[in-house]
Amino acid sequence: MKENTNNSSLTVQVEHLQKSFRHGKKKVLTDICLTAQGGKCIGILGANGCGKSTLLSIIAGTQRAEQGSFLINETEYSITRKRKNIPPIGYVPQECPLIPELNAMDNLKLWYCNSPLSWEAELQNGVLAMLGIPDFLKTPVEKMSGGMKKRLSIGCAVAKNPRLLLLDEPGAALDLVCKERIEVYFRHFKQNGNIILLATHEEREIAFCDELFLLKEGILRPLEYDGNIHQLAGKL
Amino acid sequence: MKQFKQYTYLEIKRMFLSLPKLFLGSLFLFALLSGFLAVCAQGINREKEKNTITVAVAAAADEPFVDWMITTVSNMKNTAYICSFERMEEALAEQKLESGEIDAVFLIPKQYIASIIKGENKPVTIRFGKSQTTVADFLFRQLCEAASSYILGSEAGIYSLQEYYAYHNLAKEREDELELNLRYIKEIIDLNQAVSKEETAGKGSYPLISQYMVSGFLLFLLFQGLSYSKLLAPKSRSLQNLLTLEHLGYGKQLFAKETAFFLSVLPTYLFYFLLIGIGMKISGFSLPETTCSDLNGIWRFAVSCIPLFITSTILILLVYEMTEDASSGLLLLTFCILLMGLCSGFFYPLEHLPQAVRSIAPLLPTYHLLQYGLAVLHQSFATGSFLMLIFFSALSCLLIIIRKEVSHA
Repeated sequence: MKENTNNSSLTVQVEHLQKSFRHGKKKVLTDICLTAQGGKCIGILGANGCGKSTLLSIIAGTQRAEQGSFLINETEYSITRKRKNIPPIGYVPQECPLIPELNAMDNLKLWYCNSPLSWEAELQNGVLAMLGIPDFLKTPVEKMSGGMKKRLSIGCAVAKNPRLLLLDEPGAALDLVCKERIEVYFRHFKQNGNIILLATHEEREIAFCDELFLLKEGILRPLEYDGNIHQLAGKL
Repeated sequence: MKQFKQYTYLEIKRMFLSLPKLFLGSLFLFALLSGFLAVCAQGINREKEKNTITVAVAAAADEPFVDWMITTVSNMKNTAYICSFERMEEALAEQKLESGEIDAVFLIPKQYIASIIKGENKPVTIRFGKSQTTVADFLFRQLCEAASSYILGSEAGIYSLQEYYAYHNLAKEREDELELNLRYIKEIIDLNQAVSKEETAGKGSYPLISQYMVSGFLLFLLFQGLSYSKLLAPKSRSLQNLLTLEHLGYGKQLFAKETAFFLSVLPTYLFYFLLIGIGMKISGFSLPETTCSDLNGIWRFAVSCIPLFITSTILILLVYEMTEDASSGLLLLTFCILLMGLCSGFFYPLEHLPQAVRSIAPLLPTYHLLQYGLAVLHQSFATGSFLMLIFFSALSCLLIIIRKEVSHA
């Protein structure tokens, strides 16, 4: 399995990121600063509508910020304009980014056609095998369960062999077996020196994270979690 | 490039997976529109029958040239549409006139031709039935007055000749006079027309049947979009955004979608013309003096209408991209087709619509679709409408891309 296995070299930094909607009338993100080291899983918590998805989508590049900088290993990449030559970033949005009329294999072909990885090889003993995708390879997406769709979305997101994986509420509406399966994969991904950034409300995923941040009123603050979920809910 | 090709292939595959269902939908639509056309054609025939003037010609059985005159006038293109002539006895003609079975009677007096030669001024009486207010009736009355003036002029020529002979006391007056008069009458009868006639091909001058044929065809193309509501409704925003990260911008995504849509509708398009061809062969129906006058012409028309096909698919895509989901797209598409079609002359000829509607029609893409289709059907080429089709296609693509950029910003 071809993977990035450099344990120490990856650092991701977000500095002074700002984003507002309706021509500045609604400020969503105000001066967001974040640093993540390789081998870590960073969790972002916050109430519904606080801007977690917006933050992830700006880092992924599907939305643009008004101000701020984004660095990978101290090389800056634009988050205010269209990016060029950025290292691959895997992004699994909350909304299912699959073509519903087609099956898993067709969806994988779309993302793996320009990939350094071979989807057939990955199905045999790679990341796709780890996610259990061979079990439903010929199933049309519109007939898949939520867990299958999520696993397939992750499988498509890692097609370019990224070192940074952004996940927006990956465990929402999934059963325990599926969550366990995904967690195994995340552990493996982290162990290879890569970074996971995930927005979550799930207790299990919160416990999995190495560092936590709370996004509230547009500001990102570090958060200490001692396992008391009720106390954590109060902070939100 | 590889990913663009892969994406285009997947879009085509996605459309073709639903082809059996879409094909059934198209067949249903075709049946519906054929019924609509059949009803319109019946309406046109009923209008034609209502507007035809039935004229009886009452003359003595031995009166010369009467049958010839009836045949000549009946075969004239202009009168053939509004008049039908029938020779009958005067008493029967009067009876039918009173009952309303006929609209007018030409009463030719006894020995009418001989009376012209002799210089007697026996007039032809035209008796009309109950008052009618159709345009055809008005035209017929005008035609009768014109014919009357023509006959008077001819009689004047004959009488002048008689006076000349009498004045100069020419020998063999009677034989020469008869000979000359007969020659004169023959000259008049042999004349095809006293006034040369020209037609200008103005706007809206296409026959009603052609307008309904092309309108039906365009409605079939546009209403195809209803079957494709789920396939054409905007996909998940996340997927579109992720594709832009892979250098598949909204323009390329649109191109792939349009290519897939076009290719998936193409089998239905060709099948439609195959059915038309089979129908023409079985029924013997054709549209003379048009591109569709024979089977080969049907396929020439199909090829010439490819610009209509492409523009229709792009317009359908535009409507769906302006909405959030399949249901809203379906409703909006139906509304747009009906409203724009009405204002473009699909259901009623544009000349019958208010001036306000006629003034906005050229601003609508459906108007140019109809004009281009009519021109192609009548073996012509509407350059202006063709350019407008290109303009509306480009504008639609631009609007789709702008809409995506703004909503995903």
